[in-house]
Amino acid sequence: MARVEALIIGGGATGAGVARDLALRGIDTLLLERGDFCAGASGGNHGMLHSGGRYAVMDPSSARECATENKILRHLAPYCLEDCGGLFASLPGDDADYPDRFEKACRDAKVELSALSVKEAREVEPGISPALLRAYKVNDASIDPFSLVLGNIESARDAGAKALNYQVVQSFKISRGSIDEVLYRDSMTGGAEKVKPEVVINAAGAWVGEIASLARLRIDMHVDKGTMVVLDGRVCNGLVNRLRPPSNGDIVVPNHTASIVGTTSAPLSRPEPVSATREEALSLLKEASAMLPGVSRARAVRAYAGIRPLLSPVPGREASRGFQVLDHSSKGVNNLISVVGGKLTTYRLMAERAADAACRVLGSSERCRTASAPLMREEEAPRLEGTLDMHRIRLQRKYGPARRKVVEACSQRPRGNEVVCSCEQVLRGELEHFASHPDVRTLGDLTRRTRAGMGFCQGGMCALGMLSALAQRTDQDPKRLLEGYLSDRWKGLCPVLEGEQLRQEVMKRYLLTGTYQLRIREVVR
Amino acid sequence: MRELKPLHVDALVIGHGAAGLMAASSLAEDNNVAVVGKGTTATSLSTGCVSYIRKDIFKQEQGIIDLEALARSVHPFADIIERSSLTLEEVLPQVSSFLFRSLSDQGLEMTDDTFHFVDMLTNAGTRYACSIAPTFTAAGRLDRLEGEQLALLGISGQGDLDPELVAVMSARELEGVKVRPHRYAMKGLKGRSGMTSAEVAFHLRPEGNLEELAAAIRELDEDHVAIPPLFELQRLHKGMSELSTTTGRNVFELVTPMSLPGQRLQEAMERAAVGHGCRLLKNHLVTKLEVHGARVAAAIIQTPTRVQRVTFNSVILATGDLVGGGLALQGREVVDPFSAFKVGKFGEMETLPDQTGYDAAMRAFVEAGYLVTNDMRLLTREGKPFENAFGAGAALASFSFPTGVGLGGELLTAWVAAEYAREVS
Repeated sequence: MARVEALIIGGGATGAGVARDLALRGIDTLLLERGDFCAGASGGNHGMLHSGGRYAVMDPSSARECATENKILRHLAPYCLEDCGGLFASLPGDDADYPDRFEKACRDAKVELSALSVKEAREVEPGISPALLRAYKVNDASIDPFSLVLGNIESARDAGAKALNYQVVQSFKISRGSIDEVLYRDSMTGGAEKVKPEVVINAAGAWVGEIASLARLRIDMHVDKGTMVVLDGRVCNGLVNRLRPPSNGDIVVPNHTASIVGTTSAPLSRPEPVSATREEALSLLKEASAMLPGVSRARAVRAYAGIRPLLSPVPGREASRGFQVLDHSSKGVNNLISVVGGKLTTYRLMAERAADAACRVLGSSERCRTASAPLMREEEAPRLEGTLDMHRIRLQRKYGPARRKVVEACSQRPRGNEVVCSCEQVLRGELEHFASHPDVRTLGDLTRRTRAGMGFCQGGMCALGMLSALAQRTDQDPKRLLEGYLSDRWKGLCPVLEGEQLRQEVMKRYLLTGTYQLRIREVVR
Repeated sequence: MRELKPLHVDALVIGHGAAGLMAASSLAEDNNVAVVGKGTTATSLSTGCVSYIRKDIFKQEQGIIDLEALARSVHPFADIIERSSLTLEEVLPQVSSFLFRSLSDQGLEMTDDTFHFVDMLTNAGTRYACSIAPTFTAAGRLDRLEGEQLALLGISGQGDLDPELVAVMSARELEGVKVRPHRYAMKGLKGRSGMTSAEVAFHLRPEGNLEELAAAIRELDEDHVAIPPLFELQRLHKGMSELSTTTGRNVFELVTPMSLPGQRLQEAMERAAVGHGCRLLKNHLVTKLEVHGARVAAAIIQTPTRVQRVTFNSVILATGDLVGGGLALQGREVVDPFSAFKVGKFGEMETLPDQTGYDAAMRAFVEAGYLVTNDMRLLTREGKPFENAFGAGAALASFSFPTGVGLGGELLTAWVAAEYAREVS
């Protein structure tokens, strides 16, 4: 049976961060993710690198962590983020005392900010509501969580770690107070494997409680559903936050070709598959358009939901966004570490603490290197041959240093430089490059890696092209792959459809279901 | 804006898609008819095939349609016809032979397989069934290919047929057929990408270019060769026959939506309507209908430069569904753009069969449309039948069907609406 020093359960930002951290310490590491990497809350958020401002008043310790990690990540993974800055805006009807409390709390938590006059704020963000009363500028940035998580996975692999997606942990065999064996199963092929770990790091996000229960342990936490809406195009230059206690529709994040409006908060009794509802989407759009009137004119292309793991006895907005690393030895399991709570912005710190705890179990004295070792070495993007050069900046921004192999695929494969996804300008070579990677099994996996299908038409025009890249490299029924993917896109579209856009989507559905005889699953909203 | 002198016709048909042209052609046999249409029709974006029926009512073992199932439970138009004085058994062959005759006169030969399915392969590699299809589009029943070899020939730079994708998809759809993908880059089109089928069709006009394609087909080992649609209506018969005879292969087209097949059907139907004596007014917008009580008295039609008042004895609304642009949307609610007719959901058709590809959310969006009486009369907003206004095609409640699936229903209702409109024209 395979043996490994550290087994990580969960391939979101935290798990991927732990894998990289431990691998850089020279520890033999295996990561198991039950879906695709970054498919849970790590991908289902607004892609925001917090300055800390949002939590300064209610949750100063999280704010402080965000402020510190914000600086580190800028150095660590510059290609994953866009330093577009952030604005906090106070509007009529908002608590008039809040801005002063906010300013003081930010200073106390070492969150950098500067007060702007209304005129200055309007220069920074011309689309802001004309009713703007007060504004502060902060160091928010937008971040591509998929690039970040996949970058961590690749970096961990480069350092010797093994990471597998679509592997569901089934059970632990515990003997003499330690997890001796872990049984896991491939969720698509059903094939079962066992591994003997010396330490297990439970980084399953909203599902940490579920994993802990396999060791008959209970974790006191809450899970909370958050919905976001994607707008086509950018409605603001930088992030725009409402200067009031966090609530619905008070963040807009420009990201790649889109803007993301966040977010709702609704406690769930347990982690389960969630999807956005029309009511949530409408409420987000209504609130956000008070702040940025352009939101109401933009095309909403998708609504999606993620599940936040909250480390707190209280659910919802009041809950701390902080995190905790639990060593379960006091509860009778000696080699299980759980990471509970936290945020994308603080993923590296969470990973560091979890890796420290794992090292204590392993008796290793290796120190963490992730605060200073860049994710992948940054380099200048050279000019590319012919028309491919038009894609140079996009490829650099999306893939960072890993773009060289992608560029190779685009320039050398037949038809590699054909645009398949015209919304996001994704080339066939990019799709074929990722389609030939063993991690990629579904069209959704291709979307997470390349952004194909994320744009205006939500896969309507490019799904067949994506399938063409993938179908030749898989044993799965291509029709089922396509149906699964389109059902998922439809799930995200349904809550935001109306008027002309609804008409266009009906037409798309008619082509796919009528002529191509595809079955798109029922989603009632 | 120039005001043209008023026009009077026996019947005005609004909408120049499959339903409008069918109703107009049928009425024009003994009436003075005008058809107005505003833009691109859903028919021209369709696969150019006509389905009356679907697989779930096809009794495989007997090779016949289960008419009873059709009439009782499946298509609302069957229900309408059953309740009227017409029977489906009467109407179906009439519509089909009228269509058959009209289209083949215009150079679009159709395979009439009303009571059998023509089983085809789409350009996505899935199987598609319909009952009337252009001869060269239909491969006939695909099971006839069993044990044979099929070549998929894509034209480089034109995306209508992605041979690798279709090969992978159809490997599961066509068991027992050996399918191989090929690509051919035409000399005169080297380096081009994103070409439409019309651009390739233009390139194939000179004799030598067609021969170049034929030579490429002769290079293939397979006896059966599928290509994307490459010929416009006027050249379809000649081009496809030539490819088959000069290569000795069975050459046929794959079903491609938003490509030449729908445009060919549209063009053939337009020509047929004109051939039957209809006045076809394309690019005309009906800006207003003059309604007096339960009678529609006149329509105001206009182009960007001209406006005209049209009076008539009867009017047929064949304006199309949401996709065709006939019905308007306010948020998520389907409304009548003329603010004259009653829009709602039809009878007991709340549970459309799954075969149409609907789900509950989709159904909620598309099942609303114009309501009609048993004799196809539209209703006033208060629910009273109009004396001289009839509805036809996809604009009717529950008649909006996915592309390709619906044209049969559209043609049938148009035929029936014309029958009743004739009585008041």
